[in-house]
Amino acid sequence: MAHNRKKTQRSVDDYSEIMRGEKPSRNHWRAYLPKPVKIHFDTQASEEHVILLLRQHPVTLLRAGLLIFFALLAPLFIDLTFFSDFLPARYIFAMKLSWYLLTFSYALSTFLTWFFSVFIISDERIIDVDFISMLFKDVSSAKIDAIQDISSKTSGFLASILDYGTVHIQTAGEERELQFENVPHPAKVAALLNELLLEEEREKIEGRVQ
Amino acid sequence: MNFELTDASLNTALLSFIKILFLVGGLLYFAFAFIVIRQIKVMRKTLITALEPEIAVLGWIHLGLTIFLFLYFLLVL
Repeated sequence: MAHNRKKTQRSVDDYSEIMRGEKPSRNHWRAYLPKPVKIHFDTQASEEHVILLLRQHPVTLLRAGLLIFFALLAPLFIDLTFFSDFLPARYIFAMKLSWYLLTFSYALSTFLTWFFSVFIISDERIIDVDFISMLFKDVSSAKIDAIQDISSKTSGFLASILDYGTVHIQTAGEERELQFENVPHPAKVAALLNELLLEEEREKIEGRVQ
Repeated sequence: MNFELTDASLNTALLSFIKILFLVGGLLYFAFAFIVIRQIKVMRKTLITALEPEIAVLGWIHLGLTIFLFLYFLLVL
């Protein structure tokens, strides 16, 4: 049984050159967190370790940030509209308050969706947690040894400058393809996945998986 | 009884109607803020980080602001 198996655990630094060069991450706000400290996920097994946690690159929030900025400025121009001709000042003020609260709600839901939509690479699995909005959650995962093909793609001027892109992972499982979209250092992530895949094969050959 | 449709009474009726719209909107928004609190709980269970208290506080601030807004609609308009 896959989930009952016991193996002689090696630390990720023992077999991954990529992770050997990374320090454990304590700052949980970042989009690229190698060896994160004090981060767990709900379906994590007791002997499973999170090796890398990824979020979409912060630059992907730029459009939402600009929208929020202009939304904050919009009430300054409300006196120019036809509302101020027939509504008392307290009603106009109520409209402005509502607008600012709506903007705050939008900012909050954008932040929460970004913060909790994560890609997790553990020593056993890859997990894609997607909060499409505040109301829709989609979690897909695949075991490392089910990975068949890994590729990374960086496209666009900004993506090349800031080094972010998409990692495509083909698996043999039910979920045929997993995508880590707009993540920082996609080539590094693909290289790490290759190292994990090699380690899984090594474990099988050396009989460390029982 | 004699009802006279003056400009003032029309104006009052219109403002009362707008106030009701604000109150209904405020109530719906209040319900949404509760859903946000619930969803934050689901999110915090999915990914457990050291930032849980800060994120929970954001949800409660959001709920507090919607309550304040509803009270403003109810008492000031």
